[in-house]
Amino acid sequence: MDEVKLVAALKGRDSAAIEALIETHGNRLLRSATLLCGDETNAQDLVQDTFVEALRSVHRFRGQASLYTWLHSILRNLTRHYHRDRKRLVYDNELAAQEIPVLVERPSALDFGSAAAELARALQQLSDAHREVLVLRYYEHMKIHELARQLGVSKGTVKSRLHYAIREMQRLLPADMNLFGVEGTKETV
Amino acid sequence: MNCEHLRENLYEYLDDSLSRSEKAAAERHLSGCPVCREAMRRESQLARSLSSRLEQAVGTIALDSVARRGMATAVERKIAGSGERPVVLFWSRLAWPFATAAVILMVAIWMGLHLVVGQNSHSEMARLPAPGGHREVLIHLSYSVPGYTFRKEGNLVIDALTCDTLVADGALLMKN
Repeated sequence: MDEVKLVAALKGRDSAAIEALIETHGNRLLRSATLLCGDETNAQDLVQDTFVEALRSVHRFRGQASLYTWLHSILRNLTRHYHRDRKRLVYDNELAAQEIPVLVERPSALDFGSAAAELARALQQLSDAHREVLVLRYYEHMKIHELARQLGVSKGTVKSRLHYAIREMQRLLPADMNLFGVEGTKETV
Repeated sequence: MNCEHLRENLYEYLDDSLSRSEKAAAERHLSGCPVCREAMRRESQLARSLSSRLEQAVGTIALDSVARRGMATAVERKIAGSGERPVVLFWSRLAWPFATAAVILMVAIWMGLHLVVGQNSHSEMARLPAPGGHREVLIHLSYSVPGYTFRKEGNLVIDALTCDTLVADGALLMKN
């Protein structure tokens, strides 16, 4: 089913369309949500709520962005509420550069035995704003101007957040894990 | 383009979102600047490294068919539930304004009667019995009270608005 037909069917609350929507975008949203919130169980709830919110407001979807981009923006809003509800600090750009993230032990389905999982664990220790910008840039592959639009900040702020987020990631990762490759150093970009 | 300008636009260069002339200028600078070439290599390496590791970290997470069906059912149930809500919310939103308006109207009517009778019906009031040196003013007041009833039929909530007219009569004693 193409996206236009799918959206039309969703407006009619068609059950098959809802299942198709979940089948098409559920896994990718779930993975992104897991990276954003660090917990697969909560991520699944966030994804389900994303679909509920999407169906409630599907009549407002104009097709200016892709359906996935729209769903992901709903997911991000819900994730922010999730973090707020957990009484986590909301960072701004300046504070994020100064604050030391609090280590939080959280149950997770992520496999912490692998190098990739070391990275995922470090990701969970970043501030919400820094984690968000890294996930959007390096998992969702958003361009700088898309990030600026999606996050509602300037391109300069996006680059600044990326800079500090990468620096913090490098600090949190084990010494033998270099994000810049064998020729790289632990210096920032 | 100098080093500073290139570093500022490094992300956009890698995103291929520079204008044609900016891109050409960046490439000219890169061809002659090993320091900026190294900066670009590092950022490219970082992007590849982070992307692949993030993908590995969550790549196996997926909704199986049971979870998908369960989610679809839960979503449908929540949506169906939210379909009733606007009807109820619509009337519940109106209830307080209506009630407030009714009270204000009643007070306004009462005050209006009071003033009109007090200012314009002096001679008429004077003719009314005046026990204990008071004038007696008869007040006849009617007002409507909105009432809301809801009944559920299947997944639908049917609402009905009724207005009950209440009449009140009374005597008001006024000092001379």
